[in-house]
Amino acid sequence: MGDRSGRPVPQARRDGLVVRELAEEVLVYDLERHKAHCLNPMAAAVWRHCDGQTTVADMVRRLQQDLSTPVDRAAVWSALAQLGKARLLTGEVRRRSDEGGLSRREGDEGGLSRRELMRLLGAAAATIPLVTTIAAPAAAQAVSCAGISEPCDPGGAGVPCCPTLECTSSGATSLCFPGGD
Amino acid sequence: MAFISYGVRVGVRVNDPAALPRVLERLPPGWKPARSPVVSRLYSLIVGGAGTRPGVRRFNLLYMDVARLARRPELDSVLETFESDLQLYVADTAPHRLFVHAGAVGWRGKAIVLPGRTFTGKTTLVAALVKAGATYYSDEYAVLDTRGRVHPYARPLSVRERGAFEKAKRYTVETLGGRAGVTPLPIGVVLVSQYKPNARWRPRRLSPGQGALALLAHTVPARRQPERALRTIQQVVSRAPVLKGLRGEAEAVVAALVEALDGSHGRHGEE
Repeated sequence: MGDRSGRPVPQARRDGLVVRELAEEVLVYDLERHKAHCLNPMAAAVWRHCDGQTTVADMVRRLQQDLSTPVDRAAVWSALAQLGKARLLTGEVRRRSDEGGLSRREGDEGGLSRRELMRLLGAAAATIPLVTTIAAPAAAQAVSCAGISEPCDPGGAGVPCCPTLECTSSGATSLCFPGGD
Repeated sequence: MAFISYGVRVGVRVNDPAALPRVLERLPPGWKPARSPVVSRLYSLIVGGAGTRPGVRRFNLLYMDVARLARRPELDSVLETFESDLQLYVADTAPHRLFVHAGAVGWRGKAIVLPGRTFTGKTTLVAALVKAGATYYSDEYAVLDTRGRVHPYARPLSVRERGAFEKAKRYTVETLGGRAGVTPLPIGVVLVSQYKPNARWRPRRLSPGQGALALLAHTVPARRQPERALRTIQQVVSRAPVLKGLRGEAEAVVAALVEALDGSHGRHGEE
């Protein structure tokens, strides 16, 4: 995905997502993968600029205007890497060797070199992007589980055994007992 | 019989009328008989008992619609499965409420919500707060309306007395010297904590977005109704702080929490 000169122009994914804007962060629920993401202010700002027309260089300039603070290009690339990993971008965004003179490791399409990371850590905390992801629980995973000697279903229906316990059948009865080594 | 629980219509039939009182004990708190026999789920309990031949006993069977859920010699065990499955079904499908797996108490007109899985010490912390004067809302579900207020789900507390994996015993809140809440309360604080021996209570405040994820991780219909879940959770985190941390003994946390909420030590809570 790139403009006429081949520079990457990231595009945010919108299909199959539920998006809720908080005061500064953005919550995104992926209906296809049943994962929920929290984009911190910097990651949310980058995602908003992923319109399929804005290059990374232009994004950096706009973010600096929006946030009224210097923005490191490595921060934007880190945000794009995290957004891509979370499947919140369409297509793949590859960083070219002429993108901001940053070092690039083979196979590292969006990760950070040590120099980039140190530069980010020295930057304002507000410009460090973060995408936090959880897997949405299935209903049975959200309820209390069955303890030792409590009934269970070896087929997996109903309340599961608590962690470290296994559903063990003996005749007509199935109960939760500590798992074997 | 048909009944309604949090807007969910359920039917239950039993082959032995003498077992019906024991079934009714297992229904969710606040259930009401339904006039219409039209239900979204039907449970069928077939009580076993003595067989036709000497020394032979028939199994107790439980069906959910056409699927068999349990087949056991002990009726209590089957009733526990009935209660668990019914509870989960109501929590997952209630049309106008969002069920979060959490303890909940009322303190000075606000709710304290304690999300957490089993063995994180929710019931212990709820019981300690009740003993300190909080009103009891639930040790299992924080039931939220669209405005993010907590409604009662005051079933008897399930306390594991001798250890984490021991079978729980049920205690009404009155036997603990407390009382149950009846009116919906706005949330004052959300505490995401897990018991660890000798841990010091030093919670950190999560951002609203991180707090929302912490709540969603314990939301029963998160996958079935994510849009409604996020909309309700957004109401909560926009108004109430979400704190997270390990905790030691419940009494120490309660003391710190009461002091923080009240601004003074030892005052009792009110609705």
